[in-house]
Formats: sequence, C-alpha cells, structure tokens
Amino acid sequence: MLRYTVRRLLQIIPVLFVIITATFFMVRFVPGGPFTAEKAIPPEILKNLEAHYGLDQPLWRQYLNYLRSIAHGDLGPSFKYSNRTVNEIIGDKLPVSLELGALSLVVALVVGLTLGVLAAVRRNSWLDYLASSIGMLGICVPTFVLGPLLVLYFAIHLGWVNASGWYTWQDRVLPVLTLGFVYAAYVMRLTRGGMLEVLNQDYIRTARAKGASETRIVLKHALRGGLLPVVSFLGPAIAGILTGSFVIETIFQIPGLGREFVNSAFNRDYTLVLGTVILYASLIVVLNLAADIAQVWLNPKLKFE
Amino acid sequence: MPRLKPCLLTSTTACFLLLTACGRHETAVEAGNRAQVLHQNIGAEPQDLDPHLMQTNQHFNVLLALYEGLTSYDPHDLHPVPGAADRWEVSADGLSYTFHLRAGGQWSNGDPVTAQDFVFSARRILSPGLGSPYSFYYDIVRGAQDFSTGKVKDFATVGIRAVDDRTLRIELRQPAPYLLFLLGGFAFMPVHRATVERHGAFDAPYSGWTKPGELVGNGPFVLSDWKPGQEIIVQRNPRYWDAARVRLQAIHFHLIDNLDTEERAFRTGQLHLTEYVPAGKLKTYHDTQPGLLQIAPFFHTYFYGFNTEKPPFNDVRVRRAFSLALDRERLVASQTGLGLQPAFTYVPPGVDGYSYDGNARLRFDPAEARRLLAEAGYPEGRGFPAVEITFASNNYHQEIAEIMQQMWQENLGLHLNLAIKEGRVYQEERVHRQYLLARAGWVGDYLDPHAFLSVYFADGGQNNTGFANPAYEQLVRRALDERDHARRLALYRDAETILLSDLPIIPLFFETSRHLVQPSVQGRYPNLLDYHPYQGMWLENK
Repeated sequence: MLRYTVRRLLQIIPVLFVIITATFFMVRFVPGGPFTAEKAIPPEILKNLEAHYGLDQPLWRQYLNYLRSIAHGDLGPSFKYSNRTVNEIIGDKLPVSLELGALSLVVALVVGLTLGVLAAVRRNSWLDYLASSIGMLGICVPTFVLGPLLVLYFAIHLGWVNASGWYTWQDRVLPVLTLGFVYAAYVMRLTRGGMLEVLNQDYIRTARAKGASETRIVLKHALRGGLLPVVSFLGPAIAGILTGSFVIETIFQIPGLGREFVNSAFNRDYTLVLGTVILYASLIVVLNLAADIAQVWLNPKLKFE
Repeated sequence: MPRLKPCLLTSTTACFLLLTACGRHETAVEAGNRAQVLHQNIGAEPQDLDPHLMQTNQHFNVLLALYEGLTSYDPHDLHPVPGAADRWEVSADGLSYTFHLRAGGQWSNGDPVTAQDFVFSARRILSPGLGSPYSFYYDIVRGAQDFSTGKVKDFATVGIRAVDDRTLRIELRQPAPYLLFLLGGFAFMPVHRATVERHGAFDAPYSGWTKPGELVGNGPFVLSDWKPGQEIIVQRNPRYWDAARVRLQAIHFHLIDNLDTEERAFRTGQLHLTEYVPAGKLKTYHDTQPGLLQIAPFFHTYFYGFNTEKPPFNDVRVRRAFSLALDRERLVASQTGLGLQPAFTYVPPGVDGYSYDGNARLRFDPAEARRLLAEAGYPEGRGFPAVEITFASNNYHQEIAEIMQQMWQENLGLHLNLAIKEGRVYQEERVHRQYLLARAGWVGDYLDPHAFLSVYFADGGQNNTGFANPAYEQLVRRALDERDHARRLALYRDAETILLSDLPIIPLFFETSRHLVQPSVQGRYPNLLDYHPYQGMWLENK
C-alpha cells in the first residue's frame, strides 16, 4: 500500500506541470490584461507597471521565472490586490472555504446517509418516496435559487439570521444548509442505490439467517458495501466543496476562495488564476487518491496495484 | 429500524433548532443608529487605499474618510471649502496659488501636517516609478508633465514648493478655474512621508504602508481594520482638526459586490447605504417604499462611440444619420424608474452655469436621417457594410443596445448585430480601435465642462474615436484662459457645437446615481458626483 501511495503521489508532479504550463499560456493568450481598465492608463505608466511585475520580459522567460518561484513555494504577487501576495490571499481565504466546506459536508453526510439508508431499507414506502423526492429536489433546485429562498424566509421574513456575511456562527447556518443540501441529495441517491444492491447479496441473507438484528445487518454489514459509490463520488466532491463555491460565496458574501477562483480570471490576475488552479488541481489529485485507498479498504474485492 | 428513525428526526430538527436559536436580534443598522456606526456598502474591494494609486473613482468616498486635501467639499453642491488649508490667495493672472495650512493640523499619529508633506506627495505621485494612473491631474501644474513622463529629473522644476512649514505655493502653466476643486481629489491628497518610506522607496508602488495599523492619514477617520472580502472599518480620528463636528464614531465599508446580495443585506438591516439598486427591484421600492430610494442626477453621459477612421463611420453623414434616427425620449422611457434624462448634448447641463444652447443640439428626425444615409451612398440602407454594436456583457447595456438596434432598423432600415464582449475584451478592443460602433460613457472628475470636453483632444488617452480637431482643442484651451465667466461659457458652447456637428460619439442619455438609504442617515445630500464627505453625517431616526 505504501508503494502504491508513493507512486501515485509521484505522478502528481508531471500532472501539475502540465496543468501549470497549459494554464500559464492560456491566460496569457486571452485578450485584455491585468491593467486594462475603463479609463485607459497612459502608455508610459503602463510600461512602468508592466516592468514592475516583470511583464515586459519575453513570455518564455516569465514562464521560467514563474516555475522557479513556485518551486520555492512562492506564488507571486497578486495583480488585483496589489499589496498582497497570492500566498497571503490563499492563506486568508482557504480556511474560510474549508470551514464552509467541512460544515456543509457534515450536513450532507448526516442528512444524505440517513435518508439514503432509510430509503433503501424501507424501499417503496412513504419514507422512500419522501427521501427520493428530497433527493430529486436537491439535485434539481440550484443553489442560487435555494439560497435566496432560505434568505427570504429566515432572514427577511423571520429575521432570525443575517442575509449575508461571515462574522458570527449564525451567519454560517444558511450557507452551510444550502451547500450541504445539494451534496446531501447526491449522497442520498448514491447511498440508496448502493444499499439496494448490497441488501440483495447472499451475505446479507446469510446474516439474516444467522439471526442478526436488522440494525446490525444494515449498519455493520450492508453499509460498508453500500457506501462504495458514495466514496468514489466524495473524492472530487470534497475537492470542489473545500476550494469554495462561487455561487454560495457570492450569495452570502463569504470571503472564501471560490470567488477568487472565478473573479481572478475576469480580472486577468494571472498569478492568482495560477495559484488557485494549482491548489485545486493538487486537492483533486490527492483526494482522488484518498478515495481510491478508501475503496480498497471498504471493498475486499479490490487490491492495490 | 428502531435506531434510524430517531437519527433522521434528530438531524432534521437540529437544523430548525439551530435556526430558531438565532432568534430575532438587533440589526446592524439599529445598533449603528445607537452607537453612530454607519454601515455602507461600496461594492467591489478597492485594490489599495493609497490615494495616489486609485484605479477607479468608485472608492473615492473611502479616501474622503481617511485623507484630506488642501480643500474639501461642501456636502450639498460640492463647492470647494477649506480643508487642510484654511485660506488661500490667487494671483491676478490665475497662475499662482498660495495656500496657508491651518495651525495645529495633525496626522493621525500626531505629527504636524506641513507644506513639505504636500510637496513630498506631489513628487511621489508624479514619479514615473510609482506608475500612478491619475498623475495627469497635475498636467496643469508648471513642469509637472515633463517630470511625470521622465523628460526632466529635477523636481525643483515643478511648480509646487513649500515657502515655509505652513505655506505652499502652486504655480500653473495655464489658468485652471477648477483647480480648487481638483485639490480636494485623491490625486492631491497628502500621504505621510515617514510611513511611506518605512515600507520601501518613496516611489515604490504597493509597498504595504496602507495596511491597518500602518496607514497614517489626516482625514476625519483612521483605518482600524480591513477584512479582505468583508469590510473596511474606519474609526473617528480624534486628532482631526474639525473632530468636534464629526459625529459618526465609525464607518464599516462593506465589500458586497453582488447587487442582489447587497439589496437583501439592506432589507435585513445590515446596511444603511447601498452602492447600487438592482434594476429589477427599482419598481418595487418605487411603489412601496419610495422614501428609501435615492435617485439623483449624476455627472455621467451614456453614449455610443464611432470609430471615425474606418468606413462606414468615417463619413460624417452616416454618423449624423445614426444620431437623427434615435428617439431618445423613447429610449429613456423604456428604462422606467431610473430617472434618466435624454441627452441632446454631450456635457450634462447645469454645471457651473453651462447648458448647451447652440444650434447643433441633437434631435430626432428619421426623414432627415434617411436622406443623409442615401446621400452617403446607402439609400434605404442598401449596400451598408455589416456593423456590430460592441458592448461589455451586462443586462443593462444589452437592453439599451437592443432598443438602439430596433430604432436603427425601423428608421434607417439597417440591421446591426450585437457583439457582447467580456469586460476586458471590450475595453481592449476600444483602446486599440478594433470596433466600429461601441457603447461608452464618461463621468466627469470635477464640476466643470472642461472635464467632459477635454476628453476629445487628439492625444487624449480616453478618446478612442479617432476624432482630432485643432479648432475644437483651441476653443477648449482658450476657455481656461478666459477670466470672464460668460465669455468662457461661450467658448465651451462653440467647442461643443463642433463636437455635436462632427459627432465622433452620439450621446444617448444622462445617467443617475441610485442608492438605497435608511431614513436614519442624516447630513448626506445627493449631488452630481456622488461624493459624500462624512464630517457632517450622523444617524438619527426622525
């Protein structure tokens, strides 16, 4: 297992190199630059600004310089937030996205797993229909509809929480529920499907025949196998949920990384685009690996190779 | 399933318990009204709080809280009032200004504000190394342009010097009746030398001296915190010379950049003041709570610009035909509730007593439009090349463009396509004149017709049309030298006649500023530039 993990981790390096190279050149070929503005900057001043950021050098040299600096862990200065570096911005904003993501994940797992298991165990009962409807709803209703609806009711109508912001624990409630609900829907549907398949297996019948209690069968025997589809979904999903959600962060004015990820492209903030891409790519690769390891651990039929 | 059901019940009820636990609480606005803490949204996050490195004038109000130039603004109509200087003299030829700084003027760290501080600040913003986009405001100062473009290295050649600690002299290369107004603006705000130099070379951009705890200013408030993506907080500055008049204890500048999120925050009592009003909500506020809506004329003309160097718009008859075919009243009427005024001139009327009344005033005359188009070689629009209306992706601009498209179709028989571009692509194409017809607009930086008319100088950085007319430029420049007010306005009128006859741009309407304002906000007045000094503002439910 150790060898497998090390080999997979080493594969990250060429993957990241390709991603960095492709992103570096792609953002440069987009029309407009970080200093393009409604009120055009005088050409002499533009020259000074470009020199300050090293943009006056040939592209290949800028690329080599960039590779050299990220090898030292330095993602460079941001163009938009000029007095801060990309490292500082990620350091400031990633924890916010992590908090939002982790809390939403807890909601998604608690609600999704519970509903999924219940729906599978009580298949075709009202409980199943209710859970499946909630699951369908969660997948169909986009966050930019659900979020404002929750705000309308709980913030504007009842006045229990603020409509936006990220200051007190109360501010966490609505965004976490909104984001959590969407993922809960996926988790619920995958759990239900996985569980249904497992519950028909021979070893479950064996367990029943041996007189194991229903609770024990579901929680100990079936759930382990039933979770497999959820686990492979969670790898990339966690990467997405942790690096922040553009929509949720915009609706609730949360100072997370998701908005920077999107806005940096609009701002042509070259270094911030690259910084967030590198972070996101690394997370996806690592979490996919974690999901693969978890799969093997959960499923005796699989082996590391 | 004895254990699973309680589990489900617990998880669902937990969410509701969590919410009910929040309960109805005192809103930020209510608490702010009690404690004199203003919550204002300013939209997108400023790049920096360095007045010499502002990229847009959108965040000027924050700077007005932190710094004060030689002059300041009257909150009602923005006429210049004493700021860091308590009095000044102007020489008879209008070329030399002597400012007397007030005794006891202090920086927020207790250092005295001196004339040398203003000289240092001017040298800093004019230094090519700093790369300030607004150093051109100094172009009227003797020698400033040569210094800022690097032609001259010696700052002593620039007409700004300290006579003594409290006397500053500014010498101009030509009279500028709007100088006192400019001096209150961000480019002329002073920065604290010791603080700037502690963080790097005096002309090093973005050295970090503007961070909370570091920034030293001379305005009515001091920076106390900047939470990226959330808010910038400033506290009342007890060392400000007029602190006795400052009633607000603190201002929270929120950084909500989404219009709908902002409106919801206003509705739940998190904001006293919004930066915008979403177009879709205007009618609702108008019908149900008009008292919260503040719509005021803004020194902003919305227009379309031509590329006058390429056919078909290199022919003035085509440009005139395009303008004559527009029913501006109908265009404005389509945007209910925004308070827009149709623009039959370029300079918004009423500034410094100037309203264009010459015979080149724009009008709606579809028959004449068709005649001119035929004369230019396109009878009934036949043979007209493919033309796109270029604009940046935005619902508002798109609605306007669609109406324009329809009017040109109806009145000229021309079908123009819409070219919706991503923001920076649109700007890039305009700067490099890779367009034929594009949306544009101009917000005057100071209350003088010159702020609008000087844009269309041949070498003007914002003139993207190819328009170049020496007679026009001469008239605008002569107006600055003219000491007689009526004759000055007459020169502006003659210049605008040239512009409106040649039509490198077609003005469509005059914009408004639009905000939502809680009734407790007092001492804040709508004005043409939407500048709001905080000295006289307070919060009180009346």
